[in-house]
Amino acid sequence: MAHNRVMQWAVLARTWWIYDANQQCPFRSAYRLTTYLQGLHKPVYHRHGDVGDHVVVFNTRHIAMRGEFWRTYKHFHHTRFAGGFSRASAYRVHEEDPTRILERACHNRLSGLDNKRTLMKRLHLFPDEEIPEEILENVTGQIQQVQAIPKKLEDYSQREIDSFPRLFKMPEDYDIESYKRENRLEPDQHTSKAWRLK
Amino acid sequence: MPKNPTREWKRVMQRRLSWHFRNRKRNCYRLSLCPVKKSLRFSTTVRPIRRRNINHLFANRIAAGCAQHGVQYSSFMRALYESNVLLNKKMLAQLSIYEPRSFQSLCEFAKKRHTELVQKGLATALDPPPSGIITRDMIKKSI
Repeated sequence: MAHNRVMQWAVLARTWWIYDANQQCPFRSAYRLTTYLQGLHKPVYHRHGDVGDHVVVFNTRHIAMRGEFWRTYKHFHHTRFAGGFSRASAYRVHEEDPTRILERACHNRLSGLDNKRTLMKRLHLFPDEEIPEEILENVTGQIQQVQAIPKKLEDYSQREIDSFPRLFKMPEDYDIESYKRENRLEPDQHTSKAWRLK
Repeated sequence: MPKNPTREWKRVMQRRLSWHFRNRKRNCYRLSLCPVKKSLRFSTTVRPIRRRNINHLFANRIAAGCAQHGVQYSSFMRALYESNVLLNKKMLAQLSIYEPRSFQSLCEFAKKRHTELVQKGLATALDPPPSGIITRDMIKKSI
C-alpha cells in the first residue's frame, strides 16, 4: 500500500500545540484538547496507535464557566473510610489549584481509555502566562479557542459609554452604580459552614 | 502413513483453531477442546462489535481528514452521497491517509457544492425531498 513516494514521516512526529484558556469554557475546551491528545485530528488515528500530541495550556486561572457553575458545579472525593466523603464547589477548587478544573475536565473526557495516564502526562497546564522556556521552544502550532472573548464594560472608554445611544431615561431610584461597588458574595448553600468563604 | 488418518486429520483441524492460544492449550489436544469451543462462541458475539469498531475508525479518520480542510464530517458525507460519488467509507479513509491531495479535492468539491446551494437561495429548502416521504400536498393532488 505504502510507497516510498508518499511516505509521510512528519505525520507520525509528536508535535506540540499551545492553547490560550483565557475566558474559555473548561468543558468545551476539554473536548477540543482531548482530540489533540488522542491524535483524533490525524487521519492515521488508531486507538492503540500512539499518535497523540502534546498540548500546552496557559491562562487556566482565567477560564470562564457559564451560569451558576462556579457555585453549583462540584468536585467529589471519597477516602474509602467511613465518613470520608467530601465535595467542593468549583470556585473553591479553583482557589486551591487554578489548573485543577481543566485537568479534571480533560481527565473525565478520556474516561474508559487504557492509555489515559500517558495522555494526561502530555497535557501541560499553566495558571498564568509564564511558561518555561524548554516547553515553549517545542511549540509549533496553536489550537483555536472554543468561544470568542467578550468585551467587558471596563474595557470600553468613558467616551464610548457616553456616546452609546440611550433609548429611555432610567428611573431615579434605579441602582445603576452597583457594578462599581464591592461584590458581596452570597453564602454558598452547598458548602458546609466551616468551608465557606469569610 | 498414520494408523487412523481420520483421527489425525481431526486433530490437525483442532490445532488450526488453537494455534494462537497460550501454554499447553496450544499443543495438547484434550486441553484445547474446551477453549476452542469457547473461542468460537466468542467469535460469534464479537463479529458485529468488530464491524462497528472498524466503521467508527473509518469515520474518525475521515473526520480528521475533513477537519484539516475545514469541512464537517456529516456535511462532507452528505455532499458526496447526494452528488452520487460512489466511494465508501473504507476507500475515503484510505484516501485521507495515502492520497491527501485527492482527499483535499473531494473536500473542495463539498465546499463548492455548499456555496452553490447557498447562492441559489435557501440551501435546505431547495433540496428535493427524499424518496418514500408523503406530504399533505401529494395526498390532496391524488384525491
